Amino acid sequence: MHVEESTLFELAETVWTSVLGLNLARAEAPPANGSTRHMIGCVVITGAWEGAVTIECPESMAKKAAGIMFGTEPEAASDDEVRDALGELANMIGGNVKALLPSPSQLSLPTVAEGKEFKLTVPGTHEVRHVDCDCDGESCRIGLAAKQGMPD
Amino acid sequence: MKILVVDDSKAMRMIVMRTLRQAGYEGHTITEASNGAEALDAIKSTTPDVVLSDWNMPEMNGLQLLQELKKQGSAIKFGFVTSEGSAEMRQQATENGALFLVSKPFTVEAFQTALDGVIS
Repeated sequence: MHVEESTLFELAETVWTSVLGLNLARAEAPPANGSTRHMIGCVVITGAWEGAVTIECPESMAKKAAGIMFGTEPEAASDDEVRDALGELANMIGGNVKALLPSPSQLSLPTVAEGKEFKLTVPGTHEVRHVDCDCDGESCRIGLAAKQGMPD
Repeated sequence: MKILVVDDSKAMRMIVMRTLRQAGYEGHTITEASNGAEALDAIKSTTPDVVLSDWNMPEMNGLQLLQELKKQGSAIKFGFVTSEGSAEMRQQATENGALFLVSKPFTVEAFQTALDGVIS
């Protein structure tokens, strides 16, 4: 395993800065997945290394990202645009994570889940790294899950 | 020039088109496609000079699109804009005739470096 928490954060920070023009900082607390709507973007890696990369954030943060990416006000972004934006953020971080892991491997198309008080599991994997981040007072979590037996 | 932007993410197509403008490539006709199969249809109907394509897409991915274009004898200038920029994929892109591979997330400068001489 060559992807440490600090690496996950640096990759996410680069995506946030380059794509969204927003600062991302390390945070102590995970996003509160309670009564407010949450979203998770996920890409799966298969091949020489198998696992998944996820971004979990409140819907408001995903809307903000969609607004920036589509050039609209956050509340004007459609549900599809919000899912597209979060999926693409997961895809960019996942693609860069994949480049650090054993190859050859393939990256899936992004999947996005949304709702309240839910948990996303990629069967056969377990979380090996996560980093909690803060963007303008809202928290998000970047996670890395690995299939059993993968180098850790 | 006519430029075709191919990506299954509409958000990313918008960012690519915005970055083209920021990089100084204004005044060109830009069209969009959301996967390789759509791109093949768009290429037939709009005959673009340059294709900027994502790699990982449903229906037909970017590499399959490039290989199909080469099989057809197309001389369209082709480059990848993708989240996957490993040395292995860059080599695969080059071996199949891509002129460049810009990895996501990208900067305006990365576009200028890749597209200098490709887009006049």
